[in-house]
Amino acid sequence: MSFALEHEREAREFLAELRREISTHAGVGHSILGRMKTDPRSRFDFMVLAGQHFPLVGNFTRYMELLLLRAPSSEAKCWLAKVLVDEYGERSEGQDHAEHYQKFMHAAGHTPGQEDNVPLHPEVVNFIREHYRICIEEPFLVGLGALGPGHEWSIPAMFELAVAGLRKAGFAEKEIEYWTMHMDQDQDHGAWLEEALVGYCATPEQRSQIRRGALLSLDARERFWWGVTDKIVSEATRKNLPPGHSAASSEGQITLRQLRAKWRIEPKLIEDTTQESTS
Amino acid sequence: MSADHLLVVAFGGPTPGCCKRHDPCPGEAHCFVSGIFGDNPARAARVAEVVEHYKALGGFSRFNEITEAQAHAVQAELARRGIKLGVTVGYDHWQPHIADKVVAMAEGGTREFVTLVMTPHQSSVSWDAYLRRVSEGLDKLPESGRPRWAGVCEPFWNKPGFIDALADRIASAAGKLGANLKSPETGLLLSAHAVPLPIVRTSQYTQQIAETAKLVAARLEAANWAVGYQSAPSDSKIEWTTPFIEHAMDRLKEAGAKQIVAAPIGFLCDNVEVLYDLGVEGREHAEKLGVEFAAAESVNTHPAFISMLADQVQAALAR
Repeated sequence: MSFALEHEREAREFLAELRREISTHAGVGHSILGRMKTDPRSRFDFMVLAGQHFPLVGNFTRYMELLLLRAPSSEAKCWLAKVLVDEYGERSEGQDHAEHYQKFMHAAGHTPGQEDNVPLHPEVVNFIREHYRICIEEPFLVGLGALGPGHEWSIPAMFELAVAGLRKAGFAEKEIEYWTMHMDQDQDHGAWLEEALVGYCATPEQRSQIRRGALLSLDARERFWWGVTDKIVSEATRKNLPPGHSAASSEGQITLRQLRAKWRIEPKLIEDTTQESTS
Repeated sequence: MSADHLLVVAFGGPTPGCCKRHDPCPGEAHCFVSGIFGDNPARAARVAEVVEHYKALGGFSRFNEITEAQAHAVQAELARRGIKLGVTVGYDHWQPHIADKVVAMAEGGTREFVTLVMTPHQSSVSWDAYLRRVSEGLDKLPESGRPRWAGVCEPFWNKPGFIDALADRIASAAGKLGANLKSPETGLLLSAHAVPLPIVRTSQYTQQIAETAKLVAARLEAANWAVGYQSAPSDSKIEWTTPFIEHAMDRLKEAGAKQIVAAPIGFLCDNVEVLYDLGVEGREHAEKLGVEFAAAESVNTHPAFISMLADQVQAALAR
């Protein structure tokens, strides 16, 4: 067997094992998703879920853009760019994914224009913060692992469960297009990604970075789903009983609008002052 | 006081009788556990692991039987005080489900009810989750046929009757070992269910457990005690409340324990977490440490506990 073929075999074995690890991660198999079929959720539950999930949808594109700037090769840039084009709305009637998601939010009961005024569970904020950190501070392959396998290989499985719950809650197909469209698009993204990743799995260090990124993202995802669970059950208590009856407090939780005002996200210019000038 | 009914809500445990979720029936314990984690291939290994705990103890749980005994004991205590209330018990994770019992209660003529939440420490995944089921039941009814939800009993993590009952159970278990809790040679492990940190962040769960533990240890004048959390899912990759019971037991031994008395202060009845995760796995760890071990009974229907619950219901009726 040639060196190149041997390398490709090793890479594909690693990626197959990573796919298996992702498919059994507790973030992908969180009980809030696993119970969608057996423990029907109401429209109110999905309204709460949507308010917490929207900030993730709205920030994903920015993570990708930041990672694109750091991609070391045209091949990597191509994969990121292809996914970004979808995110910008290329295959969804010109509407970007955040706009699509807003349609779902309105169907779930959110008032148009108020989508970013929802108090966010701390784990929602932590999820977004962690992904910016990964895409800005970690090595490129850790970022690729987080946004690639960590997202594209987990979302179809998670969304399949969510869609079952959405249908049981009575949402029409038109109202949940964001979810169904994503299941299809992410199957494509995942397949493109696998091909792109083969070239980046040559060394144990590269494989370790990709795996680390995927697991960092999924760990944040597991925490996120617990945050959503916390919100759903406690908001139901707050809706139905006088103040003070819920075990959970939402005191001090900030909204997406406040988060945008508070955070400045930018790629940094880092000047190496040890380099001599040529004057 | 106008409420005519007490609705007792709790987690639930598997009892004999197919829930009809799967055909063929994989067994009550499987349906119960997969109902908690979800029918999801991603968690199949964890579901199988927990089902084995149930099988090791006969395949079922006494959770519902004990909870119903507690509810009827509270009803009897209230009757003794001259308060006549109907009582209904419903569960979050097993039949009879809370929402179904709310509907049955309404159909049985209940006009107004108060709710007693059977968990000593508050987190959204227990306290709020059970209350959400009550709302689900009310939502199933036409507005004209809905009984009035008059209130929810206050939580009771620091109430003297609860602390007295726990202390009494612990003293009995220590007595079996001939252990003196006032000596550092007896370690007192006070256990509660582990909860993921994202849930803890918004609640007083760990603070309430710490307070229960402190009150129990003070009542017993225990010299060497520690809180330990148990039953966290082995496949979770995130932080849960710590220390886990094994680490807490290690610390007790380091502080001089030659015997350990374990008490489930976060549980109200001898369910499988108490009997297996604490009773069996705790004992195994004690054997590894080379210390004697005794597990205290849960509060179950301890008279002091029942009397305290009746106080809570009475207070809710008076509000």
